[in-house]
Amino acid sequence: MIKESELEKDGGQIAVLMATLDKSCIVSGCAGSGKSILALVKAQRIQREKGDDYQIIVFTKALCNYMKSGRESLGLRKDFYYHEEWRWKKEMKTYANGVSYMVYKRDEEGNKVPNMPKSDYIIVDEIQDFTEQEIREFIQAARKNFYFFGDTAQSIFENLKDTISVEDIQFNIEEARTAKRFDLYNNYRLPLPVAKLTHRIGVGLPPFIPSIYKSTEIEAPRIIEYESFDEQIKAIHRVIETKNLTDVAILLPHSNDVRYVYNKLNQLGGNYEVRYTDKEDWHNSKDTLNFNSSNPKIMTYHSAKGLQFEAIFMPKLEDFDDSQQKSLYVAATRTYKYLYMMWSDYEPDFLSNIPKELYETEEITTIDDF
Amino acid sequence: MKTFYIPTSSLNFNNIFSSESISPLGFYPERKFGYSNWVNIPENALEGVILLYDTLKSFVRPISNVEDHPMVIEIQTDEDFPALQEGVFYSTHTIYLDPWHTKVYFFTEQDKSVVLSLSEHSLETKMLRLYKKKMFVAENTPREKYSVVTHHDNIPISRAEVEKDIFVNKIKGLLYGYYIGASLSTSVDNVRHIHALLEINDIVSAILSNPEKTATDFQAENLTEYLSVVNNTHPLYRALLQQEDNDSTKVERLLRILNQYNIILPFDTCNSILTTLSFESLDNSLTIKRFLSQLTLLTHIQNNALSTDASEVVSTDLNLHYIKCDNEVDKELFILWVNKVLRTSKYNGKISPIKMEIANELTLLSRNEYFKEEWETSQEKLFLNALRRHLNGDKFDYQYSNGLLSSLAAVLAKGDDWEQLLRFMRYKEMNDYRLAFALYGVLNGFANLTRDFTDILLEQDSKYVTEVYSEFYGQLFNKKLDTSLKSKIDINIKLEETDSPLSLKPHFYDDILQYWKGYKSSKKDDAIFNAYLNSCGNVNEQQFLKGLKKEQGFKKETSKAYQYIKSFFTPETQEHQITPIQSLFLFSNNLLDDTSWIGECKKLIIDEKAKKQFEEDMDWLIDNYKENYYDQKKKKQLTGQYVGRSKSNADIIVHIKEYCEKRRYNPDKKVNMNWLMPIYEKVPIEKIIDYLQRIYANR
Repeated sequence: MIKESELEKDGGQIAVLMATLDKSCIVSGCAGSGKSILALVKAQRIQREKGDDYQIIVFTKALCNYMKSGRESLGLRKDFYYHEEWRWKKEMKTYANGVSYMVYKRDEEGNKVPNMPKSDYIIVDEIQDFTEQEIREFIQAARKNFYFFGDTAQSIFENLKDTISVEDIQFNIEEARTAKRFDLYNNYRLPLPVAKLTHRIGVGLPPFIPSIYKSTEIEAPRIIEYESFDEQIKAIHRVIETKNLTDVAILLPHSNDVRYVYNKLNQLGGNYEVRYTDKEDWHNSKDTLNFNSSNPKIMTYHSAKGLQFEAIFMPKLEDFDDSQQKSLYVAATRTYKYLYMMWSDYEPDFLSNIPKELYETEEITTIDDF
Repeated sequence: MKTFYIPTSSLNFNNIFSSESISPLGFYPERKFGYSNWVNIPENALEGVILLYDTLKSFVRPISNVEDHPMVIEIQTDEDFPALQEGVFYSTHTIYLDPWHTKVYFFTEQDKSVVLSLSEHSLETKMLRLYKKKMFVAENTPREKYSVVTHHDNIPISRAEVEKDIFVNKIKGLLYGYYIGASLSTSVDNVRHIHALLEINDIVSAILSNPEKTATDFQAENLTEYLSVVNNTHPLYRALLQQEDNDSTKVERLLRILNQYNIILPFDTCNSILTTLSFESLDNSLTIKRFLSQLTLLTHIQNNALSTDASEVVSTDLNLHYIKCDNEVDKELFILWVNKVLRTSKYNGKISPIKMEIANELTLLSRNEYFKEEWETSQEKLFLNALRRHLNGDKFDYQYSNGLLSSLAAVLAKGDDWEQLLRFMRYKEMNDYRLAFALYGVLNGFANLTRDFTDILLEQDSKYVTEVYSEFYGQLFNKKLDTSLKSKIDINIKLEETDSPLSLKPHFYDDILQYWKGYKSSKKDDAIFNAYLNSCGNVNEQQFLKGLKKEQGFKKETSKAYQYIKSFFTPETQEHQITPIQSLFLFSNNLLDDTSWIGECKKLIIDEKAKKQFEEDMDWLIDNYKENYYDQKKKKQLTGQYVGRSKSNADIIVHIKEYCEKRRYNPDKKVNMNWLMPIYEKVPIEKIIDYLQRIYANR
């Protein structure tokens, strides 16, 4: 749900919220503009005013599960789909030993059998992660209207699949031309001090406009040098405990780093959750995170896409390479309060180029007693 | 009493019901709380005043892409407003609404429905349950339009009235916060119990997330400790402990023996939980989902009604006059902080960006105006400075208590969101939340409080709500609220009509409806239960059971139907105290004797037709394990087809699996079985078998 009084000066947000339901729409918004919650609120309205014949589809299973955690508070009755689940039929098979397992259903020629159930209203979040063909399939599945939410700047799968920008949907797909277009420019998640820093990390970003950052948080981001990688991990454990943080993500570039950090943190005591896969699997086929617990979650930059946390820890930046820059930016902008960037031995160029006045370099800010 | 009408746009609906008031247009950007915009319409367009008309007339809003519809607020009041012209009056101050003297008019059913729908996403739109019966569709209103008033003599905004509005908002927030804090407060034992449940939830989630599904030593140790906190509150454990002269080792031994005879304490032993977790994943585990959702249910809010007769918090002339604290220093400090700092517009809304400023200002105020020369030797100096350092990232070694200083520390650390704050205080085993939520309320102000928070108070019974509402009204406006108009206005939320546009269902509506479907009820019981469920309103668990007991067929506590529903809730619900949940594992129950699994498995099926077929087939399958059974369809006694088959749960589960798969895949290509295939396509066999194996076969 939304604190509407915090948005009221944002014509774009209010226009999306208060828009009539009789037209399809495409909402393009930057990171932190509240697209996902707007998608859920749209579903809430449809359910209330038009009934249950709607579907919510997102790209990854991780985001699907994250959004599901907000489903109850909105009273949404329909299950959400992640794209693979929506796109393909599955069936159960049984091994000789009697153990059952699910596989994609295949026709006689071995091709996967499409699923793509239709409904009156189709709502899709992170539309920038889909191909033109996939978007056409969504439109065809909507008997009445479709509502797409996305942000081209956040497409981190563009090298992995042939995605289409949000702006191009209406150019390329005729059926989408009559949809009403909304653009959201304000960012409600990212604190301005963090935005000032992360903007210097991003690739191909539009010019920095401080006034679009609406969060009132003032906490300065921290870039801290430690003696070693293990000292960084100890610091993460210490800060979480000292600050009583309960909504935390520890983000790393690769799965093998994820596993290492997870094991080290477990050794320090405490409860940590991990999303770990043996290879870089951007479908996040494993769901091992419980968003109703207060445990810190450890995962890759890619896995954090679409999620948000009170505190983001990004250790091991000494190993950063330029190919990770876009995903590092997406990961760093997941915070709505605290950002800790950590390194040892070698400060990567992208950090040393950031003006010192944009961040703190210590865990604790010293003050005088009264 | 005179009646006035205020025409406005429905786009202001959420604004009005966030603060329960309407202000002159120019107040909104000035008042620094809640909404800062007001959608202006030609019929009410003056900057410094609200226009009030003496007649209800219709008007229209221009067609647009947004849901902008005409809406009129009717107020009844003794106040004399100055006239601007014939039939048009004005107010230079905020008009505070109350459910006894307010009505809201729309001009079509569709407008009303859309506006109420749009109120749902807005967290700050609150109190609607009190106003729901005051929302009308005035379809037959004469089509005569309001004349547009354009008054050229500028009526300036009254700064004094803006200031007063700020104080009302702050003190109203404090009063709501204090009473809601009292509602949420609990006993020391209960909070220890809740804390243990929260920790168990975290530990179990962490183990489930572990790729090896194993607990670290730290987790195993803590799980044992917290499980023992939970188990130790079980009546059986307590009785044994008393019997064995408080020797817990002996009790553990006895429990292990009892365990062999299938008497299992709620969370079983730590080892058995760890064994279960080792093969579970969040993705497919019904057992764990049930386990975690039961934990959530157990930590659910418990409502205590603080009587207004206790006069624990008193404000006069929009100043805090008295607040109940454990000691005089806390009381005086609290009053000083509120009246000098917190009730002003300086600190509003989200706490974390202003937490340091608040901490600094309250520390300095305490030093300079309260302790003065005694500051250096005071405990407050040590605590408040430690808190300030903590807010800058340093350790905080103080033990949390229920006192003012701990309450402030909790609010500054986690006060952005009331649920986070409550959770934090529970982790710290604080059990009295009155001061903390009073601080939360005054810092946020009433307009910023969210509906889920205020509903904690408004969900109590209507007599109490009326009493508290009147008390707040009296304190804020220094006059008695006339609630005698009961024949016209009934805020009894339980009697709301069921086709209401607002959700007035209990929060467990869907779950209990699903659960009830697992009970083989008579048609009569079914009809009575459904009618009750749909009319009981947004009651809590205790109220639900209490009301249900008044229904025919459910009156006797021992009636099967009542017992069935009662078992849906945890003992906490019935006893007004938290006691442990039932064992999740039913290895000892034979599937042929205890057929409740059919109802449980049905819950895994979404399609109604498939549900029905599955239930019918499972009943048949079980009957056929008997020597003889009465076939309902054929109306005669028949011999069981599966007599002699193994009756172990493991073998029955294998049988159920084969049985269902035969119907889904029809491997023998029997023509007369074809019709079953699409139905069984919708039966999630693997999930059902997984559930049965976990719960009944200890696998």
